[in-house]
Amino acid sequence: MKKTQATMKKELQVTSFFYILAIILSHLPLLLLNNSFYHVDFLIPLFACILVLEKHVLTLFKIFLFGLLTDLLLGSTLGVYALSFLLIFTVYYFFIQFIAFKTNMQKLGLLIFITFFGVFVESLTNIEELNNLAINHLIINSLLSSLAGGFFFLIMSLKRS
Amino acid sequence: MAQQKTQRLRLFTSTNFSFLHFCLLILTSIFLIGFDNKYQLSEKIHQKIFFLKSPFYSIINLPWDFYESLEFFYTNQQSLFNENIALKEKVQNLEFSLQQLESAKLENAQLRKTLKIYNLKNFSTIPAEIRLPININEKNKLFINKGESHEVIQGAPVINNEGLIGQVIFVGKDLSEVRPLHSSNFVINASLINGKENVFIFGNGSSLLEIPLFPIHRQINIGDIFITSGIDKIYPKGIKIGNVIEIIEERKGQFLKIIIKPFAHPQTYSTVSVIREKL
Repeated sequence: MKKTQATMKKELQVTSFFYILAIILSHLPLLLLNNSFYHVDFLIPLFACILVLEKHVLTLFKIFLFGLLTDLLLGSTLGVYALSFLLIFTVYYFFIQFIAFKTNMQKLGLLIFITFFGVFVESLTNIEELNNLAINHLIINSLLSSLAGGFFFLIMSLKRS
Repeated sequence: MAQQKTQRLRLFTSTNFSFLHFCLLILTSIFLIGFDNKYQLSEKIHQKIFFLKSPFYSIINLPWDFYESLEFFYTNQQSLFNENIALKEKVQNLEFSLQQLESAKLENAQLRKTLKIYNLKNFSTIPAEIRLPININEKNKLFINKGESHEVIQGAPVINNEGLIGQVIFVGKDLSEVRPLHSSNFVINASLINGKENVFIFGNGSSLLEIPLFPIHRQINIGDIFITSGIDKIYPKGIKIGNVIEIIEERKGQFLKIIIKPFAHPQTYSTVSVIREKL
């Protein structure tokens, strides 16, 4: 289905709203934990959601800028989110070339997979985290982030329908 | 025409995916990561845009401030009375300690005069409250409600009742960011409490600190306490850092890796003190 300019503008507004929400949520102590082992990443599942639900027209350069902006706002190492988003996009692109994801359940499955992948890439490229990287922490962080992805997916799907 | 434009902008059509652009952007990202790690570019940018972020942090704190003011408004007389008694007891104990301290101070001055030792620099403290966010993207951060207007300077040490917490890295008008002791690029010069063994202690990003290469012939035991040495002229001498909890042999037994547990955790108390040199 081709998108009109009006639809695209509306989608941009929705995406921007969720982006600001994700940035705010990233600044709140949601897990109330005093160690830095576990964290929910909100930006990666949001980006995965935008991809899976085709919420916004994205080009490679836009994705790169989107990643850099995220790095700046979160104060993380420059390029970490840019690289993660680009690789997530590649994985997504690879999948949709071979498999058609039509139902919401199929899309949710893809969302969880690419969120897992994204969190792995983000953790591996983040040198600050790399010192204390343990596979169990990584899996738990990916699970928590996937839950956040499910939350975004639910709300964005509802908004869409 | 419009249809053509929509066609061109269609999401993820194969014509939009340029492999060359993709490789270039990936390489740029990797280059940026390396460059940032080497030259701390993001920290410099963060410092420049810190004043833009301050209002955002104030908004995040609004619900908490509102809750605190409500709590204060509805505090009953009995709880205030109990608090008053507890504070009076504390004041009495502190007065007793102060008397002891005064006599020790006089004795110390006399000894310094006899031994011809120069006086230590005088320091004062600025009390501050910890503000939200205490973490960004669930990574520990520490912000305090004092800034330039309260004469907080960049690089000032921050302590609480239990020991050293960190160092001020960014200063806004009424808000400052503190790098916690255990963050991955924190280094501090320290010595054992008996004044022996001057070492560098490193934060490693976990909740613990470490001395990566400690000579094996030097004596160190589990439970030994490290304090600031004062050599770096940033941290006053004698602030408690932490105690040794683990000693691991490194490099085929040539060195020891010492794991230290800090005494103070930023979130232990809601108030901290920023140390500044008296002019």
